[in-house]
Amino acid sequence: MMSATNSMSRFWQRRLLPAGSFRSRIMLISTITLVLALSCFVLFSWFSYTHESRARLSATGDIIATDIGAALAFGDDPAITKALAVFKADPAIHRIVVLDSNNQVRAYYHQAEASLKGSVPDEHRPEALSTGVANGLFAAAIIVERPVLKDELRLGTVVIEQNARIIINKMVVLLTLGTFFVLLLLIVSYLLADRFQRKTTAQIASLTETMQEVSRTKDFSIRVSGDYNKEMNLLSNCFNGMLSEIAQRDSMLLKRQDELHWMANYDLLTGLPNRALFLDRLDQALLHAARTGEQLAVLFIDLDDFKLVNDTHGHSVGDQLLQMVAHRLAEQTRADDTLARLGGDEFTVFLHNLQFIDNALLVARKHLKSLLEPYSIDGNTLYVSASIGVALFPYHGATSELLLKHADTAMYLAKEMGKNHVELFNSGLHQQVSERLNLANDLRGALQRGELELYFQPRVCLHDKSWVGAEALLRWHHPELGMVPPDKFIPLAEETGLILSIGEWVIGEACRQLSRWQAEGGPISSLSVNVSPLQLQRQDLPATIQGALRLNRLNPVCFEVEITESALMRDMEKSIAMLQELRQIGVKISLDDFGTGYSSLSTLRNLPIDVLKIDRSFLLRVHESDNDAKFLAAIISMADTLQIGVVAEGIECTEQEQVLKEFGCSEGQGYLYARPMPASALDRIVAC
Amino acid sequence: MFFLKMLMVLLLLFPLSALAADEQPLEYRIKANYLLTLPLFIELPSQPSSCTAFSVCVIGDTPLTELLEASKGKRIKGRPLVVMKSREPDRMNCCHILFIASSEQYRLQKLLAWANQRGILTISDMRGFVKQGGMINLVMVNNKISFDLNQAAARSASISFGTQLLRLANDVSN
Repeated sequence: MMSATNSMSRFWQRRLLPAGSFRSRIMLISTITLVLALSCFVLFSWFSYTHESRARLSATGDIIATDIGAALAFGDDPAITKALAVFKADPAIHRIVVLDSNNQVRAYYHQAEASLKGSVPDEHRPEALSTGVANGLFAAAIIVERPVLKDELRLGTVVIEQNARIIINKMVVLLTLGTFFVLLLLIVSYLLADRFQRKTTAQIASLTETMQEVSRTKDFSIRVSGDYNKEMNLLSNCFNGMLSEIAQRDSMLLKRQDELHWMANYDLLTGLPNRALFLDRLDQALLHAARTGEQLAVLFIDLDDFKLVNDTHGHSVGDQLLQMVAHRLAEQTRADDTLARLGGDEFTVFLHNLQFIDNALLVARKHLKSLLEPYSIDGNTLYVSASIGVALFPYHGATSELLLKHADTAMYLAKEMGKNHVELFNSGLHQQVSERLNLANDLRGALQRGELELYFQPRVCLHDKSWVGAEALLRWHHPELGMVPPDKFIPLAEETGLILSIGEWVIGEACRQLSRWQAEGGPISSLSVNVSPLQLQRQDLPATIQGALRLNRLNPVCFEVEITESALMRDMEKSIAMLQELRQIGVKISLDDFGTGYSSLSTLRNLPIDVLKIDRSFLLRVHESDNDAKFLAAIISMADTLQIGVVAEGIECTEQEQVLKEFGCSEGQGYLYARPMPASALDRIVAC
Repeated sequence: MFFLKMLMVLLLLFPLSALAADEQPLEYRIKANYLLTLPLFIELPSQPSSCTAFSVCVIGDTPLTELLEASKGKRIKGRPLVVMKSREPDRMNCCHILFIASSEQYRLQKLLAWANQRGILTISDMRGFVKQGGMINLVMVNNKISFDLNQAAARSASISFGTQLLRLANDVSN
């Protein structure tokens, strides 16, 4: 029901208020109003006229009643008829019927017929008349009934009927005139509505045009102008306000976009392009170079020991230095080449349209030279050098990533070469470097993964072949490469600083093993452990060793520290102080690889050492070469003089053993007696 | 139809009086009717306040008396109808109308004088009643009852006829 009503009303809304123009709506409203007004007017006129007519007829009826009273009373019908005949002159009176007190028709008058009495037509019968009176409200023919009274005595009734044509004619005239006026008014309102429509539409059209222009040109500075009516002015003001808002937001958005773009492509500190932009430009340059057959160079620049600057002067100074470096690099770079900061102290430049390969190296050296100039920051004068790696297109790679990687590798090589150096990429070197890098990476986790193991090589008394101790040696079981030789990974560990943690582990592990042997009555009663020069410099070695000894309840006398000659040479004074500290703990100290370094025999006098380990190179041909034998004899006798024990390394045959015995060397180690082996293997040999 | 039914009901209710009235000839019935209708169109001088009824006095022998008796109680000029009949006029009080039957020709002047004195409307159906000084004379004209009026006589008794009556009258003498 409800929905039916709604749909009905919607239907009428559609019918009555079509989504048309202002004009049609105004016309519709005008028409409805005017037709309603006309209807009201006609209806009012109808009632008013009916009322008026009724009053007039009543008056006429009363006059007739007075006039014919006596005639009616005395039954003088002809007199009544005569009296009624007067109304022939009044066209409004359609008919008059006179009834006596018994409601019998005494006389009747009809406009169209001759007056007669007797043959009364049916419609004049009293019953028909009373029905006519009752229904007279909306009937065109108005019928009024008036009594004939005389001194309260009812003598009869007069019924008067007005001519129906009168009121109908009147209404027709009224309607015709009304319709004419309505039509006239509608024409006027149409003209007015049309004018209004045209004015309003023109205003809206101009607004719309402006809006379209704004959306087409994206120019938010355009404003709506023009004199409109009140509502349209309000609308245009709102529109202008909205445009200002949009314009403001648009400019803000563009600014943000610029900022974001800058941040995405440039380095904040130096204002140079970043890695992303550099690679992008390099890609484009490579495409161009590939098409035209040009050569192209990528320079990878890394400051030497920049970390030291940061550590000693602070990051603020470091940042200022980077800015100055960027400035100097930019000065040396051609305008159409791209200089970028990759991050940290790494910069890259690519040189396009390179005529000769040497030019790239020339440019790199120019950079190096300019960077070497002193920097003055916050009153400090700083000196910084750089290492530059160069990779060339098309020789060293075709993609930006590859060229950058190779330039990086070349830079790494340049650092290896002693810094402040330019190195051109070379695929052979690249192989080596990448292997080393991979190995260094693997070594980092080796300790945690348990890939490191200690091997032990017994030290033998040359006279009775009994084991007087053993040297702990580090071995690395690489999961893919298998056993990695110590001379390959120990230098790596020293370079990367991993030797510190590994060295600590070695000391701890050696002590643990020794304590087990001692507890189980094992074959080895004392151990010697190799210590790296880095450990001497950076670590509190005495504390570490003392901690490990105490933990395993070992006598320090059983523990021997082996130090190479070269390690001692780096910082003699500090090293000697350290060794003396170690001796105070009770630990023995041996000088490893003796004879390979540059230490003179005289320096031996100043070193706090207990044992001298003669390098295997002296033993190689000692049984064949007289010279070597003499030298060996001299060492042994000198050590004997200084009361330093001598251990010969690398004894592989009995001839060597014989010679050593002759010279008075009492202890040695080598394959002749036992190879380095795991603790368990050592146990098995003893058991057999 | 409705009125016919009503009439029949009335006839059933009052059969005796109705029959009595119906027995009289039409002429007298009309005359009785005239007698009761005429006062409506005539200005009569006021009677003493003690006379509350509308009195029609009949003097002499006439069938009208019986017919008028039948209409007793009917309201005329707002008063109830009273019919009085007597041989002696002085025995009748408060008369508004005095009907003088033809039998009283012999003492007409005396009766008229009595009535005039009291402002009583005098009516008769005797011949030449108006000429003899009577006020209304019921006459037969063309087989139809009509009346003659004597305005002078009426005026002398302070009675005036309505214009409608004058118009309907057969003859008016001044």
